[in-house]
Amino acid sequence: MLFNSLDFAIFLPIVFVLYWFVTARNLKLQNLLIVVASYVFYGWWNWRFLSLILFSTLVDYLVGLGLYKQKNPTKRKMLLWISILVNLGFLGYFKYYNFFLDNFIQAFKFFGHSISLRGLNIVLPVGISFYTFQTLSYSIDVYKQNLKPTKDIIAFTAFVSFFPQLVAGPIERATHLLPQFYKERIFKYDKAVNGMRQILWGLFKKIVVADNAAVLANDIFNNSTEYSGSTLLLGALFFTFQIYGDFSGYSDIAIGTSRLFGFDLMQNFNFPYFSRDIAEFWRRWHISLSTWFRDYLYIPLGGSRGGVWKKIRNTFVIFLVSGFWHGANWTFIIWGALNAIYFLPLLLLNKNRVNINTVANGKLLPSIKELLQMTTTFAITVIAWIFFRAESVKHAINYLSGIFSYSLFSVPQFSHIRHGLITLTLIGLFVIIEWLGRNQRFAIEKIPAIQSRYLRWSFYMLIIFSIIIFGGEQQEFIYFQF
Amino acid sequence: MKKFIHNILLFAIIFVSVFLVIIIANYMLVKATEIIIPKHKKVLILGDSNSECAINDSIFNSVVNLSSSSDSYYYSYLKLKKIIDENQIDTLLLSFSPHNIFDNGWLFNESHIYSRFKLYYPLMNYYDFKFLTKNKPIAVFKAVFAVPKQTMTNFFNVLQNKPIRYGGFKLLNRNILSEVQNKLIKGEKLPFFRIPEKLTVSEYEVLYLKKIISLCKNKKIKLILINLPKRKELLNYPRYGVKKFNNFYENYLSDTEFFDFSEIKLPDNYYADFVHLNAKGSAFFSKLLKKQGFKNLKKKFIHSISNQKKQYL
Repeated sequence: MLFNSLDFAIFLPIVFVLYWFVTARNLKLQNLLIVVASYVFYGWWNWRFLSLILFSTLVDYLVGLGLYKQKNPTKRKMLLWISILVNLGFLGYFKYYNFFLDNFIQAFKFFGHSISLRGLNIVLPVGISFYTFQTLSYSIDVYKQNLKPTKDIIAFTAFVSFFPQLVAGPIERATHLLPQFYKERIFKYDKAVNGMRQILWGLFKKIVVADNAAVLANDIFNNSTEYSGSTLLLGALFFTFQIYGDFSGYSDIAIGTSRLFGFDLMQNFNFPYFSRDIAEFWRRWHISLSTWFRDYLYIPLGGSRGGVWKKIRNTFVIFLVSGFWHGANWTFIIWGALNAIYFLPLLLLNKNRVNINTVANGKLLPSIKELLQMTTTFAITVIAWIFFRAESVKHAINYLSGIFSYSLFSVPQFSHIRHGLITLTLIGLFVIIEWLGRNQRFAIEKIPAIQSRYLRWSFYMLIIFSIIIFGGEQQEFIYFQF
Repeated sequence: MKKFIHNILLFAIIFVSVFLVIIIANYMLVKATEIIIPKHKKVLILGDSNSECAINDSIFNSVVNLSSSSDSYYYSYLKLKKIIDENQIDTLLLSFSPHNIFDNGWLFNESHIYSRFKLYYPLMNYYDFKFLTKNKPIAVFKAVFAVPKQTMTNFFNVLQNKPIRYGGFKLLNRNILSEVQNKLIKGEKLPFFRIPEKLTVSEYEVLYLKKIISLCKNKKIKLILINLPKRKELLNYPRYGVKKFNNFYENYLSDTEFFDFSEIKLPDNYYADFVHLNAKGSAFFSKLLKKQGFKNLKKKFIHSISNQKKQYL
């Protein structure tokens, strides 16, 4: 079920009413309702893949209980490996099997041998990369004794399948989300209204910014050989805003929806395009994944401790794995490598934690230095996104060489020029609102500061009608494919 | 919770009210805006992309083409009602091909309703509206959300003295015959055209076709059904249903004039694809129609598919 669909608009109020009016007095029943709602939500797309979630849930639930009872370190390690193998096994089979097979065949071809192996004709289960990582975090945390495993299978199933964040995150840690399923939920007006506000802003990001930018980015990327450097640059810019609007929009809707049900999810985006260096960007972009890799991969590898080579190795490992997590294609791996290259100088010069606070904190406008820093970070991010969006490495390289040609200085020309101008204007307005709200968890969080209810509601109405009037053609969320 | 529900409901009521105001404002605006056709233009062309791309009305003095891509007879009827109320038309040329009577998807396809409803709902009466909502209530509900954008466009058009666009001649520069040919052989989906799933005559299309016929009769407008040039590969394709289509005409519509130009042989580079003429094709075909004149055409070619073939082969 898509968040930006009529189905969800009907589904959400039904679940909300049942949750607060029918099951509110019984925590177990409330959790059970979440499980049923989540399975309906996921099954709406493809009910057959529900068995995967269920299997993964059962394995991690049993592994958790086993880890708690088991004192023998070898056996505990074995149990952890069962969880890792099952979860990564699913991921490997559905997401990476064909990639490895193709590369295997290519490698043989390179050495003059031709082998014929058949790839799998399978659909990638939506959200598999998200929920497998979430359940893995549970097993690892229980193994490390950071978390006491739960005996409540309904609460655990609800934690794994919680519908707002099931298919595209934020990837929650068991230590943060699971305990919320044990506690009685009390409806709080301010929290619910805040959730509604975040849902609204998420829908704006997705439908107005991302869906409009998607049409233009798709056209330019798909016909990149026909366009001038300036148009290609514009296409890359459109994609840059598409992916941000799409993914952070999804996260906003997920977080907002969770608040309606009394849950708090972690912030997943923190105005990343206002970052002054790439280290800051990665503290603000897809926070739930970055911190997951930091806690479960980077730190166990030694993190930034140790010699220069170890630092370089660990940085590359985390960025390459992060790239590969996004998809089974060399383009994602190069995207990861590129980010590692951007990040390394800061790490080696010990400048990766220079820009911790919000840019131009307490000021309306940034200084010239900050503006230059932001522009540079944004520019190198745009270049990296080209690899992320391109169909192949060759496509990305051709795209880049197309940008850096004499035609970069020509006037951009493409088939949807009017749509392009409208979209650029909308993006401009969006950036202004985001800039003004950059100190908050989402841009319009502090709207209650406007005392007059009528003014506030007029603002909401304006956003709703902007969505209706300027909304682009419905597109699936990009991160569903990951 | 009580406060939350109260505020949500209040907000929803305000939202729906504003929305209704927009819908009504657009309705009134469109009602009040005439489709102005110059007085000397007495021949109207309506239909789908077939006629939209085949007849270049700028070549004629007396012809106006208001066809629009994938317009079913339902929308042609709504358009026709408004046009003849506000203009003096004496002849209507209506695109009439097998896909017009077999393909239900054209009328009830969700995306079609989404793109059409916003433009045509002010032209609907109660029965037309009921017809659509009864058959596709959810699609109509979704399509309502496209109205505010259309309202903005209409307001800007009216402010700039531009007409509200219901259709018009479309110049195609493409020629993808070989690509389409390959797809047809492989049984793949054809670009820019949908072959009917089943050769069942659509009762809904026929209902509105008959409404057009009866409206023309009442208003004393000469109605000519016209089947425009198509590629033989498509005409010979069994699922296109030419034979069944001809039988349908003979059995149910034989008292309505019908020109069948579908089998005219034109050079390959006159086609955009199997069903549409491109710029060259439409120029040639329009000149051909002009040369014959609609009155002469009538005398020569009524029901005379075989004569017509001889004439142009």
